[in-house]
Amino acid sequence: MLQDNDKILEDATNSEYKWGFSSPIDQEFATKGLNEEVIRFISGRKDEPAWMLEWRLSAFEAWKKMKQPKWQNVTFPEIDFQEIIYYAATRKKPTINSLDELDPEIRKTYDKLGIPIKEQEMLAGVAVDYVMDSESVFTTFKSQLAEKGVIFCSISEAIKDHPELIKKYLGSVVPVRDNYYAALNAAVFSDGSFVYIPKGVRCPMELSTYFRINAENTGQFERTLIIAEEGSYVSYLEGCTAPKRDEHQLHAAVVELITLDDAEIKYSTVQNWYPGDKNGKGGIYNFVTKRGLCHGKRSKISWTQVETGSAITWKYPSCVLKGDNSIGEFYSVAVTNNFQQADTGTKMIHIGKNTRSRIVSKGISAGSSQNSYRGQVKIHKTAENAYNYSQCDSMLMTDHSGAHTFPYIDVKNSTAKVEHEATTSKIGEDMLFYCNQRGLSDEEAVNIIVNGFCKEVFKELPMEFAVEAQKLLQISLENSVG
Amino acid sequence: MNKDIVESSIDNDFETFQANDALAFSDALMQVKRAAFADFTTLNFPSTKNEEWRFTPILAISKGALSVLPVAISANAALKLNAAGKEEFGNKIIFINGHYSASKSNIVDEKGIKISKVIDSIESQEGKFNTLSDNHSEPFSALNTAFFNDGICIEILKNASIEHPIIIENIFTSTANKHFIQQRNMIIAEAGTKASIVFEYTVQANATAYMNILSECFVAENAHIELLHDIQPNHPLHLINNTFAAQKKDSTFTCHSIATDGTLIRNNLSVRLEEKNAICYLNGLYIATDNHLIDNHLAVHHLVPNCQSHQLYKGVLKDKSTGVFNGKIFVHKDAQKTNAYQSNKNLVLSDTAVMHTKPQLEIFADDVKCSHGATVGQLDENAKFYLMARGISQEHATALLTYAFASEVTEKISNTEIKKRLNTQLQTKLGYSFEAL
Repeated sequence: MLQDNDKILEDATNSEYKWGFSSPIDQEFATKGLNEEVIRFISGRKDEPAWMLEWRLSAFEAWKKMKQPKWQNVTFPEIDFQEIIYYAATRKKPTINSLDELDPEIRKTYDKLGIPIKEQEMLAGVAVDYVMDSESVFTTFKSQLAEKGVIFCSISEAIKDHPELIKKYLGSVVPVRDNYYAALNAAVFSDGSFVYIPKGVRCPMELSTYFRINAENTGQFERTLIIAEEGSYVSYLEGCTAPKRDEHQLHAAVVELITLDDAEIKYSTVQNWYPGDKNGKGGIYNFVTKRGLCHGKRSKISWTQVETGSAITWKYPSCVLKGDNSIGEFYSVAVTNNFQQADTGTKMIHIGKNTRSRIVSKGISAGSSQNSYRGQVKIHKTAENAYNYSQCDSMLMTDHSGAHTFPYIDVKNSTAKVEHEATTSKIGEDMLFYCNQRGLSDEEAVNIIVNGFCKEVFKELPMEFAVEAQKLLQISLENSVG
Repeated sequence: MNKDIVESSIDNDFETFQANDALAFSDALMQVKRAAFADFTTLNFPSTKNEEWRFTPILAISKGALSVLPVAISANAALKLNAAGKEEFGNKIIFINGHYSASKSNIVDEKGIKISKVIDSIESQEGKFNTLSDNHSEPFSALNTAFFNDGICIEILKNASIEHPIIIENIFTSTANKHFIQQRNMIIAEAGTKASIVFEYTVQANATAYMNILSECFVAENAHIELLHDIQPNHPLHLINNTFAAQKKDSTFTCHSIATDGTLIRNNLSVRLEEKNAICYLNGLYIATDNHLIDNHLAVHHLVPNCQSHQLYKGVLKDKSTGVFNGKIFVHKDAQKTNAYQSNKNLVLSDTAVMHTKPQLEIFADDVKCSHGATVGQLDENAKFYLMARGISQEHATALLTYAFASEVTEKISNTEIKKRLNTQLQTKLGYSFEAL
């Protein structure tokens, strides 16, 4: 049995990354390296107003004074920030109204990725904003959304068209000086998505952004800002892939969510950046700051993430529960294989009264990978009757992978209730035996067991995404048996 | 700026210490001490920027202008201690202001126990001394190794089963007020032995005690050792309590850390499970009041297959107190079939009390069963209501339920006499008594 497992695992480690192509698109780059000139270039290239440039420059000043953090449970050679190209954009500025006008190469990339824009258009499913390298390429369904007053556009457009919203909210949840990578992002971010849901509107469709790093040596620094006004609701999906490259590429995004009274944002990510080859060569460094602010009463922010890609995943989607009775949720599945490393989790900061949060985290480690859950639950003095429930389970597939849990619980209020539990185990031989006995192969059995293990998280994903996530998991752990 | 002052004072202290002929350390030991002092100079007193000391400021120690030199022994000679020792039973080993007092100590179970001063037994225990203490990363271990000049070495001889508990009591008088006492102990349990060892602390009125105690505990094959840290000094005590244990085949190591008083208590407990079928039980109870801080840092290293570890830590936090818990379980690569459990439960009974808990699992083997749970909450309102509906005042209902919560830990102590005494003390502390009901 064990020998079989080893063989099957070996097969699994040989499974290919299926999104590893790159597209020969005519692109324009900023000069390599980071200095004021590059920031001025990015800002100028995007016709940004002066206040935006100033904001970037002040972030750059702050960043220069900061040091790279070292506390994380992942290891990588120091990043040379002068070796990165901070801006790459398609040369033809896409001022297009229909998909047919899109660069055929981009369309091809699209098709290879299997983003069914056309299909979705027909099915009236999802409005897509597609960000290749640094520039937002296309946003579908704009007019239909505009009818409801929903703004869904690239953040550069928003800077031009809705400066009052940007000025008010950009950097309000993740301040410029929040951390090293957030400051870097603030200085050089090139594009990203902007969503504004007006008062009382339930966004009629799911909004989706697809991120793709295409060019070599580039870093991707996108910035997403979602604002849900009183009583509104939006579900937002994010997907990511990258071509296979031997060198590491940096992805340092910032995502900010704000919910006002009674509003709700549901943010789902299926992250499938190139994880590197089976020897740990190449792959994306995914260092992302994601944070949501439940500003209003009875508001809710829910993060769902399925992390299968990236050489290193290092992020903590967080909720600041400021409004009374607000709710924060975090559901995560993180799968690591080969030499992947993940240090991910969440922060739930309870400030308002009767705030509630729930954390469900599932980690699966295969190959020689290291998978860490790191989370913080902080109950401030003002958070009367706050409640948190956390559960983090890890599953180990091999004897040379590692699973780690670092939960921090800080309570400063006597009415708070905080519950945390964690387990680590391997796939139970009894479970496998049970499945085998009923005629299922090891592979099918693992599939069923792993899917069962992750079910709590998958059920939070919108349906199409849930299907994709399950497939992704299947590929990531192809043929592997515990 | 202050740091420099402290550093230089410790530098001076070390020079004085080295020059003191009366201490008469062997060359080999002096070498160990010099190396440890070098380690300490590199590490220095930890600040709250150090992850291991994030919630535990030790300013009273690091900035308290304390001397790490031993208290003059002549000061003890004149002392008249009317109540030396809490227990009327058992084997008593008494330390006064950090110095072993042979005249006040009393060993009842002479068969099976060998007691000597730690300095005298270093040579005979060469393979053991300073092998568990982590001087390279733990500043207080390094400081202790550099400056200790007294302590006890307890050997439990092969196959001995010691009937009475061995009680090591540290008594502090006001003479020791400005001293940071460094004490070093060794507990060597040979194969097939069974013993209970209790550490107690008494701080006399007008005294404020500072102590950095380090005990290395070697549990041989099939030995069953129970350790109890009974920390209820009644007067201000700043205690850094370092316990290191290493276990061999089929052994059991049980450690209870009970702290219900003390200004600053930091328990560093580290257990290495080195051979198969070793089991450790680590239990803890902390009841913090006023502005006291009680910190428990645990590390269990599963190095080989088929071992078990069980941790149960419970805390009650009142007033402006702070509780810190950090329990680490490391399952090393080859430690298959490991069972490791950890549970940390806390009652926060006031709005100004703070609890920081961080249970931590680091697992590098796949065939393991590990779990941890941590809760922070209050007493069950329904249970309280039930009692109050039966005519018990709210105050007493709270005390009764808190006692029920806390005694889960004390109930695990095997020696009935000690258990009884601890439970009584606990009842007094929590303001609960049968008579009042």
